[in-house]
This record gives sequence, structure tokens and C-alpha cells, in this order.
Amino acid sequence: MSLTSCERIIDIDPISNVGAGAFYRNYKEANTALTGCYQGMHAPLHNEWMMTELRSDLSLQGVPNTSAVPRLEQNELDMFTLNADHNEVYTYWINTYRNIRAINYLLTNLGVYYRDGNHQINRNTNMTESEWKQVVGEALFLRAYHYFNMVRLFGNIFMVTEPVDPNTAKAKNYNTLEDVYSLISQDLTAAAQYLPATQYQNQNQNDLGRATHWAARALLAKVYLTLGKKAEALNELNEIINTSGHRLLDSYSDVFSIGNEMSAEIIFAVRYKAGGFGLGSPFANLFAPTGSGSAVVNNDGDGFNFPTNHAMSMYSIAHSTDKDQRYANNLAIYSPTKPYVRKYLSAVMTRYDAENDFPVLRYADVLLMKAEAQGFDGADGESVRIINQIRERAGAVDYDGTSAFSSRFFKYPLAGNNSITDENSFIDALLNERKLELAFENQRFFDLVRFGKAITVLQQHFADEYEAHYGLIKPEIPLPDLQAKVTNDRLLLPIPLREITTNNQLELEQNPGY
Amino acid sequence: MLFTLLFSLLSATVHGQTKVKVTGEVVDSLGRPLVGATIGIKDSKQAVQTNKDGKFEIRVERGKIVQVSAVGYTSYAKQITNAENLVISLRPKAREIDEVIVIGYGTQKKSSVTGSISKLVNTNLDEIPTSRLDNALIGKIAGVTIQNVTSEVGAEPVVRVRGFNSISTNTSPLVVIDGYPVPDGLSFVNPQDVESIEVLKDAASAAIYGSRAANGVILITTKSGIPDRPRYTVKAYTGIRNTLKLHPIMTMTEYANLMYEEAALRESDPSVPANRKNLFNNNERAQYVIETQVIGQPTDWQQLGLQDATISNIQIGLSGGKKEVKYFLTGNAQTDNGAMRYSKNDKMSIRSKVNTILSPKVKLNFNINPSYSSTTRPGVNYTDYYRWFSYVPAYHTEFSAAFVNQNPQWADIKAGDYAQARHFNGISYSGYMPDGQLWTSTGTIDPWNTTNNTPLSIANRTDNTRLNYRVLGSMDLDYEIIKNLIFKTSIGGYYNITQNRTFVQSDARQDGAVNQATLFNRHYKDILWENTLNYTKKIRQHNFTGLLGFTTQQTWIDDDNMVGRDFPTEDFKTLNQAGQIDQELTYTLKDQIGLLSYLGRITYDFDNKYMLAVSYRVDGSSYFYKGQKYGSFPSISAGWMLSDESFMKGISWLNSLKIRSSYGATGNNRINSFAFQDLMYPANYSFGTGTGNVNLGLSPNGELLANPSITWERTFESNTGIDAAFLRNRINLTVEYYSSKTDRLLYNQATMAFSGSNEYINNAGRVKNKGVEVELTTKNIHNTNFEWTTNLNISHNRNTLTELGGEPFQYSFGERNEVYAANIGQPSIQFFGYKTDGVWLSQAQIDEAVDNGLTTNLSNYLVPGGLKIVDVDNNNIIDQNDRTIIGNPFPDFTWGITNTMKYKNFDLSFLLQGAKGGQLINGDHNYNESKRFNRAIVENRWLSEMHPGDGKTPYLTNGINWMLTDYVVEDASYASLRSVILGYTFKQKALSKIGVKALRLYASGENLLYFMGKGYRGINPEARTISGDYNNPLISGYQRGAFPLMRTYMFGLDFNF
Repeated sequence: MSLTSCERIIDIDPISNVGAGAFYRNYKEANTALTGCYQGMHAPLHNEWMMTELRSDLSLQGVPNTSAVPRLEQNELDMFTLNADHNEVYTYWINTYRNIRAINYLLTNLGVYYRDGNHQINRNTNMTESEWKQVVGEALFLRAYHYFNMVRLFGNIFMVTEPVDPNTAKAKNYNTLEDVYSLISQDLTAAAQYLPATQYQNQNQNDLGRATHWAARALLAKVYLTLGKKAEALNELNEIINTSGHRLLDSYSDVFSIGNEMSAEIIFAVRYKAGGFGLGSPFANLFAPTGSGSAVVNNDGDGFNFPTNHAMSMYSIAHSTDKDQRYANNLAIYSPTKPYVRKYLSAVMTRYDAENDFPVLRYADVLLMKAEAQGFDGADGESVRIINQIRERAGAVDYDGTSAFSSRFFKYPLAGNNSITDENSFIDALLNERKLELAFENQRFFDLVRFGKAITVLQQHFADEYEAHYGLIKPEIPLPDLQAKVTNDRLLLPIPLREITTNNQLELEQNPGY
Repeated sequence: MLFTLLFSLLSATVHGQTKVKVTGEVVDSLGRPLVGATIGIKDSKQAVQTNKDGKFEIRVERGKIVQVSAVGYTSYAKQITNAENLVISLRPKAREIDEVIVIGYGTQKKSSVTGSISKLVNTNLDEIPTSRLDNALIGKIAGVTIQNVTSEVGAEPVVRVRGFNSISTNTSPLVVIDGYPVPDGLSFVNPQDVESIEVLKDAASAAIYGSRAANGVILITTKSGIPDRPRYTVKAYTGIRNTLKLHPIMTMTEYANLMYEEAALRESDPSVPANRKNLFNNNERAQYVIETQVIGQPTDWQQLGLQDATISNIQIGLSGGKKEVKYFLTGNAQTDNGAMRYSKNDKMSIRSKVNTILSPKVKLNFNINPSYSSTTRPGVNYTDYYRWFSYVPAYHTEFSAAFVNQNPQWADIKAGDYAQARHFNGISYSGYMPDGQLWTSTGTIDPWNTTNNTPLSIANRTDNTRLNYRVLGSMDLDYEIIKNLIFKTSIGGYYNITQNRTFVQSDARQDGAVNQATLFNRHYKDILWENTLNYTKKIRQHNFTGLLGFTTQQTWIDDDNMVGRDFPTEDFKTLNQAGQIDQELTYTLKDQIGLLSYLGRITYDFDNKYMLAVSYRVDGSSYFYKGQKYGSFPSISAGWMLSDESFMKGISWLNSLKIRSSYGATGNNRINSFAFQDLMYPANYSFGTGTGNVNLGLSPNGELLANPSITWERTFESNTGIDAAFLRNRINLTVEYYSSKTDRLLYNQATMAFSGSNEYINNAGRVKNKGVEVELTTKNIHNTNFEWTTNLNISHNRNTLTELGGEPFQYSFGERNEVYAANIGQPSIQFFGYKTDGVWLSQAQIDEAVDNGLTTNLSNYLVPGGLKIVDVDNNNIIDQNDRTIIGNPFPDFTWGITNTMKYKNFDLSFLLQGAKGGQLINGDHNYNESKRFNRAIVENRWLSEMHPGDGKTPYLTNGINWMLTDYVVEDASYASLRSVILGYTFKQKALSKIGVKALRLYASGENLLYFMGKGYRGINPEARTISGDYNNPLISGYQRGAFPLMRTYMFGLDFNF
């Protein structure tokens, strides 16, 4: 045995997994890595509802006298009593950043850097320009999607745009909101620029589910709305409404049917696939009622994202014929004490392996965003018409002026007690419609914050549900004390304590209120 | 173990100077013949040797003294008065200074050893009631701690040599069997096959193993044949086990009574608002009604988790041969049924060893050791039984079935079906409470909202078996090139096929769950090729030895995992009928590891008085990136036999005194393969119309960030030892002091999570270990009929983290976010959290504190009956800055005392063993079920202002999370009567008539006595959780739902013919 052959004994390359350093060499590899970035959206989405719906008036932790640790942790989010060491908050944080790292790996390998507040492009030439644009455009969308969620939930965050090594990481402090929003806007603008404005009906059928030109613009519109830039938002939304080919489906339940995935209404969704691929949706089991055996879904449910009494009653279902079809699609009752969210329910063979995609941006949202961007333009203006269009699709009939508006399901009338007459009643109606339409799509909390209604609505929510739920939780928190927990500061989540503790070089500040 | 059979003559009449014939046989303590023993006559040159049967014949003048001696044995003398036939049993020389010690790549006389090596000869290790060699070593060797983190059968204990040098993923010592490093050596080797065990404790001794030796080296030498006629041995034992102590769990009825007693106390306390007087909630009322009025009796779930445990073992051996060819063959079969339902460990093994001398210059040795084991593990943890509610029965009765039938969903339930918690949901309840009042629910109630099935129904439907097929084979050839220069080449292979078979039937964990099979196969192949040149030279009183070597080791690991589900029947053993193959969990993986080493050693001594040894090893490892692959590990050691100096000769009570000192380096490379680069892992996603098509994706989403600059971790250790023997060798004392520094620590360093991972492997930091070990052997009584020997070992280790990549500390987190701190200048692991001072006794006490300026940003803190945190930084603000060190998992010292006694044919040996100091985190405090039902946790708790309990125990729902405080930190000390062996050996003479050479009967017991530390509220202070988050070397000391300690009684026999 010669010495060189001996050297071979200890000079080995990985066999099962290719090294990341030797990857991203051509379009095929870059595209494979891009697919991996899409899958990276699954992990943070898994408990995103805890950061959003649970902290809204739509859902709560369903077992008041629980002492099971995961449920106690949900109580803390639900009741704004969490401390900075909250497990789920940390999980959401690291899962998001894990995918951001994968996206940054891809982008920097394709020559896309973000330095001094601007994209710096150094396009490599191993693929055609159109291939490069497709991969980069989609990846930029995914990065913006993650940062937009993070900045809305945590406020000051760390903005990383390249794979970061441990030493550099410790020297890095938070970025300002302006910096982060600037990155998000630039990423989305660039994504829209790189991705072709192909109409929905002309899209390559094999690519359904990829981020498109329209997805980038729709998300950008929402970013603009969040920043109060209504005119810019309106510009994007009009463009989508006029030319994207996306539209409202005729029936609300078709939007969520697993036989109709990636329909014309869906602009962007996180896709799941059942059947033992490791790509199934967990939500069918997570949200099905606890202890229901296989009555609702095989393998029982966890009873999470438990709908509030308010959520159960908000669809005015009293009338038997003119009812809001969204109720039956979104909610159901297993037993008197066990309502549940059925929006993402489909048959599963194994636990947490359901088919349902999770919508991120859909046409109804785009329409409602348009109404929001446009503002109140009169009782017979376009904005009110949009709200009515959404209601009509859900089965609303014309208001006949004789019944109480709340006991049947009506369109908003032009005149009379229930007409939308001014900016205030318009905002209330719009926010309400977004709640009904987008319930359990992780929108409600962000809507409440964006509309500036979070504190009043949540305080009312605690009062409404106090007797049946919050008042039963031990040790008991008196209602005024509970209401006092919702503060402007506490609308932001704490920076995970672990993150602050790990950095022994910089004194990282905690968000105020924690 | 050490005993003599003496046959004396009836008379001792002295006759004239006539010679008489003395015949006899010389045997060892087990009755095996000793070949080549010398029988001499005092003051005469006359001498003979025993033949191959151990027999001799000699003519002796009356009155002369016959002396019998053999190498390695104490000699024997007897005055001869008449012709006689003697059977002489020689004792091995205990702790004698000229024992032969196995060292790395060779042997050495104990007198010339200069490092720190503990030797344990297997006398009755195999009679200790355990099926694993490592368990048999508990408490036997100073500096080696072995902890049974679970009492489940077949489970690996945690083994540490001299504390804790390394904080990388693998901190267990290297185990070498007959020169072959075997990764699972301690579970692989059969205790009865062991001749001796040497532990290389200091770096100088271990340096010759260079890499991987930083955590100590355990050398196992197996038995070999001796030239003799064929000798047969049969050894068999059988025993039973039971649990020492179960968790003190209340039944629902007992719990209800307690809650009502507490309510009665609160009733009289005006400070308690009306709605807080009785805290027994409606779900609990319904549970109470079910237990007392539907089922009629509580179910003891802990007992349902247990079974009758038995252990039995049989071993048959054959050995013998001639001088040129010796052979040793054993076959062993063992079955060990654990105390937990569905736990079982069966083993079979064969070991054969052939040593041949082909020519005066060439020797060839051949070894092969196939084995099979099958380990069945229960489908649920013991924790799941322990925390299951007593009101849920295992099976439905006629009455309970009819009761749950009233809910239409459970209309089909019939008597004999598994009962599940959910069957009792959605029903209206009514019944009498402990206070005699009738309670009726308003509407239906779900007494317990759980998706989980009962542990029994899961366990019954789960078959979880691991099969291991292992072969260790090696061949080595010695060739004496010129006189004293021996070339040795050996090639060996270790092949281990592991098959994990998990079959889970339908509806096991949840209703509607489909059946599933998981088949995992691992092929582990390891090839070792070693070449050494050995030279010995003696020039007058100067003794030299030299060693040069070159070795390579290659390991290949192939994993296949297949998951199939939805089988048409419940009886499936292959995947043929699977309705679905899981595409995520079905995979194959391949890994390869290489090691390339060069080594050398020179020893020198002058007249056995002054000794010196140096060694050097260079290792190259595939674990590291180019340029970082090689590490070198030098050592030097010296010894001085002080008692051989003329100025010491006059001290009559001192038999020998040696001082030795060493310094050396060892390494560690045991991390994940390819930690120097980020790898792409599968991350598929679906695109396209309909439900989409799976697109292949890859993502660099590994748990650990890569670090290309990692290289060998090194430990430098100095060791000073004294070996002394006093009072005619009746007292043997060894004292060692060591101090080691490990630098370039390989460990998972915490990193900012926004970098995409919370850890990366780094090569920074230093840790220091200092310790003292004492081994003392005393022959307390030593006469013809009675012998008593005591062996005491005690070790103390102090671990200090001295540097951590320039960082002042690192925190690691457990499953409930409890913090394990690594602080510079302190032990590597300490518990970090809030210090508490009892509980808040009343609202008034809180108000007073708040009036005095106390503030806090902790939610749920200022609550009467909740824990009161000590304001460590004295600023009147209770916040995260008040966290401090609240304990550490390292014992102050560990000890073991073995007493061996012999009276005539009886022998008794017992081991007392324990650990003192050190704490654990009792995770049970954090869990609902234990907080409510575990008496040890509930006792004396705060109830109200007027009834504050002991003022220390919080009420279960009040105040901050206990897990973050010292309230859950408990004393982990223990002392046990670990093992007792009582034996009787039949007299040879009686046996020879039936052709048996030796027969021994013995009974043994384990954990017959057990003492736990004060304040410990669990049931097994040795238990630790080591999986999941706890598989982190910077976390230690957590336990939850501990498996009970076992007590074992065993009976065995051993005969040779």
C-alpha cells in the first residue's frame, strides 16, 4: 500500500449528501435548491397560527382547566402573558431564519447580494438569462414573504441577506424597520421585474404553486398598505385586477376544495401534498377536535386553533336559506363543547398528512385590499361594491329593509340603517368582511394591527369570552387585568430570550414590554 | 474468590530420615490444573514440575518442607511426615506487584508500569446479576463511573473515565477487545469470557491510542486456552427481578378526597374568595364519578406497565490443547426479561480462540466471535403508564361499555374492548362527591380531552425489536525476524448488522391510525490493519523495549430505512402488502470514516528501579478538512521503585513503594462526519395542477452550521501516582493525582438563531479536570479457614471550564427551556435559574413587598402560593438578571467498597457503591399529572393564607413556572448495596468420584439496600433523560418519569470437568 493510497482512507467526500459548496452550479441544481426553499415555508407555517389567529378574536386555547404544557404555552400567547422564553415563539423564529438562510445561499450563489441598502447583481453565466431571472425572482419573493411576517410580528429584527457565519452573527445588531421594509420592497419589486407577467390561464401547468409576477405585486401591495402607502398599493392592485387573469371563483368552498387547488383565485399558496411524501398539511389533525377518534379525521385531532364563541356566531347563520356559506366551509361543531376549524380538513391516512394548500394571497384578498387602498368612495362607490361582491359570492342576498341585518345574510344596502355611510362605518365593514372572508388564514391579527383596532377589539374579545373561557383559567386573572395585558408594546412578540442570551458580545435589547 | 482447599493428615508422627512418596495435583482457585508448577524441597535442589494434568510425584525425606510455586500464584509450603496425596490449590497473587498488565500494543510487568492503569481480574464479574459487562463494573474501578440512566434491559449505561474531558457528542471511552477497538464493545462482550480488564486512565498510557483516547481506554482481554486435556465448564444461572419503588401516585379517589380535605380547610379561611375554596373542577368530578361509580375501582397503571422479570443464562466452555496449539471455545445463551411489559433482551454468542506456534519463529493466533442479540422494547415509555389516570380502566366491563354506549359515537363498544379516555366524553355525569353531596353536571362533560390511547392499548399493538448480528474476527501473525525483534501483523474485521423492526397495528395510538411497519437495517463494517515491530533488549541491568507501528482503520456504515403502511391484515412482517410506502421516511444513507496512524514507543528501566517510557502517535482522520486532518499525541512517563533503594531496605513494614509520574496527550475526533461542510438535504415540494407533482428539492438546512477549520481536540494530562504495599503485602494502596487540560474543544457551540441554526461545531475552548483516586486493598483476616479482603476505591473529580472560544458563557436548553450554563472558571455544566425562598404566603406579604418597591416584568409571578424568587442582584426588580447558578450534576465523589470473605467452602462478596453530592433536575415537577397526583410533589403544599403548608411547596397552578427555579433541583446522591454474591464450593475429593473437577453454587442479589438523598422526590436518583434535547454533552442531570430501580435475586452453578 503506497502512501497516497493510504491518504485516500482519510480523504473522503460525503456519499449520501452533496456538499453545499459544490452545488448551485447550473440551472438544474439552482432550481432544485429553489424547490428546497419552497419546502422551507412549511416549518414556520406550522405554528404561525399561534402568532396570529390565537392572538386575535378568532381562536383561543380550547381547554380552560388544562395544565398540559403545550396548551399552557398557547394560553400565554392567547392572553398576552408570555415571557421572552416562550418555546413556540423561538420555534417560529428559528424555522423562518433557517429558510432565509437557504434562500440566501441560493441568491448569493446566483450573484445576488444586498449591500448598503441596494441589490448588487453579479449574474453568473452558467444559465440563460431567463433561467436566472426565474430562479432569482422566485427566491426574492420567498425572502420577502418571510421578512414581511417577521417584521410585522417582532418589529426590530436581524436582516440577513447572505449566509452568515457564527462570528459575524454575534457582531450584528438589529436593523431598523425602515431598513427591513426597504429590503422587502426592493426584493418584491425586483421579483416582479424578473418574473414574467404571464396571465393565470397561460401559466405553465407544471409550475402552478411557484411565485409569480402577480404574487410579488400582490404581496407588495400588502406591504404598501402596511406602510400606509395607499396610492402605491392601489397601483399594484389595479394592475393585478386588470391583467393577471386571476378572478373570484363562483363558490367560496371551491377555493378550499382539494379538488380545485391552485385555482384562478389563488395567487400564492403554501402547497401541501398528502400521501406519505412528507409534504402533507398538519392542519387537518391540529385543528380537529380532541378525543374525536376518527369521527372527524383519522388519527384524532389536537383541538388547536379552537374557534371563539365570537367566531362561531359571526356569520349570522340564524336564517335557514339566506346564510353565509363561509360558515359551513370554515367551521363545524363536533359536540356542543367542541367547535372546530374545518377549513383545512381533508381525509388523511397518517396523522398530519392532509392535502389542503394554505392560501397566502388570493383574489378576494386583493379585492378587499383594493377597497382598503381606495378608501370610502360613497355608498354606491367601488369600495362598497367590492365588499358586496365578496358577500354575494358567499351567498348574501339584497337587503330588503325588513329583517334585522344581523339575523340574515345581506349585501350592504345603499341606504337605510345598515348602509355604509361614512369612512368609519366603511372601515368597520371592511375589517369585518376581511374577518369573515379570510378567517383562519392567519390574516386577522395583521389586519387588526394595520387598521389600528387591535387593542379595542382584543379587549372586547376578552370581555366576550371571559365567562365561558378566560375566567375559568387558573390562576384566575380578573378581566380588567387581562384587558390591560394587551398593550401596543405587547402586540409585538418578544425577541426570543435565547437569542439575546446567546449573544455574549452585544447587549441586545428586548422589545419594550417584555 | 481466593481460597484454599487444605487436606491435612490425621497424624504427624516423625519417623527417621526415610523418604516417602508424595503425590498430588496442583490446581487454581477454580480447580483447574496448573501446568508447570514447581514442587521443590526446602534447603535442597531437588524439584519437579507438574505435568499437563497438573499432577506431580516426588520423594521427600520425612520432616522436610515441600514448597509449591507457580508464576502468578502465591506459594504453598507443607512439612511432610508421611506419604500422602495432596491436592493443592494455589491462590493467584492478589495485587502483587508483578502482575502482568495489558497496555496498548503490548504487555508490561506491573512493577514497571509508569502510567495510571487499573486492572480488574475477572473473578466473579459474571456472577453479578446483570447481563452487561459495563453494569458488572460499577463501583469496581477508581475513576471509572458507570451510571444506569434507565433500568430497562439491554440499555446502555453512561460510562466515564475520569470525569468529563470532552464536550463533543461522544464522551464515552474507547473500548478495545483483544486489541480491536469495538464501538459497542461493552455490550458486545460476554462477561464470562473476560479474563481481565485494564483501564488506561492517564493520557500517557492512553496516548498510544492517540485519537479517540481522550475519554480513557478500556482494554478487555478475553480468556485463552491453556495446554491441557480438554476441559469443560458449564455455568448457569437464573434469577428474578422486581421493582424497588414506584412513583407514589394517588388514585382519582384519593385525589378527590385530598381536594375535598383541602377545600374544607380553605372554607374556614376568609382570605379565600368563594370561587377559590373548592378547586376540584367539574372534569375531575366526572372522573371521580367514573372511578367510584362506573368502574368501581381505580386502575393501577404503573403495575400494568410492569411484568414479572426473569433473567437466565447458560454458558458452556471447552478449552485445552498442546503447547503448539491451544484452543478456547465458549457458547453462551441468555434471556433477560425486563420489568417493563414487552421488554426483553436475548443474546447468544460463540467465542473461539486458537493460539498456535507454527515454528520457533512464527506464531499465529486466530479469533472469531459471532453473536446474536434480540432486544424488544415496549412501544411506550414508562412515563406514559406512570401518568395515566386511574379512573380509565384498561378494558371495558359490561357496565362501563353500556355506560359509554349512551354516546352514539361509542355505541359499538362492548365489554373486553380497550377503554379509552375519549369514550367517557360527551356524557352528562352525576354522582356523590367525597363530602356526601350529590353533584350533577350541567350538560355533557369531557372528563379528559386527550387524543392519546391508553399506554396498554398502544403497547399491546406495537412490536419493537432490534436484532443485532455481530462478528468480530481477527488473525495475527508474529514473526521473530532476529532475536528479540518481532514483527506482528494483524488484520481484523468487525461486522454488525442491526435490524430494527417496528410493527404498529391499526388504531394503536389514535383511532383511525393505519398500521405501519418501519424496517431499518444498518450494516456496519470495520476493517483494522495493524503492523508493529517490537524489540526487547537486556544489557546487564538495563532493559529496553521499542515499538514501531503503522495502522489503518476504515469504517463503512450503510443505512436503509423503509416505511410502509396500510396493510390489509394486522399480521405483517414484510412490506410486500403495504398500501403505501412513505417516500420521506424511506431512504438509504452511506457513510465512510477513515483513520490512518503511525505510532512508536520506547521504554527503559534500570534494574526495575528506575523506569522511563516515551511514546508518540500520529493520527489522520477523515472527520476533518484538508490541512486539518493530522494530530499528534506524545507522552512521557517515569517511575522510581523507592523501596528497592538501600536506604529504604531497613523499613520492615514496607514491602514496596513506587512513585510514578506521567504526562501525555490524547485526542478526540468523534463528531458528525463532514461537519466541515454544509450539506444539502432532501426538501421536496409539489408544483403543478391538481394536487401537484412532487418536485425534487435540496436545501442546506442542516441542524448544525458547518465549520471548515475544525480539527483534533487534545487533552494533556499529568498524573502522579504512588503504589505501596505494607505489612507483608496485606495492605496495598494506590493513590493517584491527575490534572488534565483539554484544548481545542470540539463542541456544539451556540450561535445566533438568525444565522439559520442554533448550533455549529467549533474547536474552541478549554476544560480542566483535576482529581484524586484512591484504591486500597486490605487483607483484614487471613488464616486457614477464614479470609476477609476489602477493596475500597474512591474518586473525586473537579471539572472546570477555562475557556470557551473567547465567550464568557454558553447556555444550553432542555425540553422545557430550563437552562444549563457553561460558565468560564466553573464546572462545564451547571443548572441556571431562579433561586427561590419558599412561597408567597399571602397577598398581604406580596402587597408589602410591592409597597417596598418590588417590581417585576415576569408574568404570573406575584401570586400567593407561588414560588418566591430571591432578588439575587438586590435591586428590588425580579427579572431575568436574578437567574443564578442553582446546582450542578457532578458528584463530589464516587465510591465503591468490595468485601470478600471466605469461610471454609463458603465465600461471600458484597459491593457497596454510591455517589455523593451532585444534583439533578426533576422534570416531573413540570408535568400536569405529577403535579396533581404524585404524593411526593403534592405533600404539604400551600393552600391558602391560613394553611400555607410547609411554606415551601407551591400550589400547583400558582406562580411562575417551577422548571426555571431551584425548586426542581434535587440531591442526586445515593448509596446502595449494589451486589451480593454468596457461594459454596464443593470439596474436590467428593467430586472427583463423579468426574467433576470443581462445583460451585452461588446466589447473588442486586440493590438489596438502597438509600437516596434527602429531598429527592423521585424514585431513581441514577435515572437520566439522555435523548432528544438531552443528547447534548453540555446538558446533564435531567430526569423525568424515571423507570424504577430494580432489585434482582439470582441463583447459579458453575462446574468444571
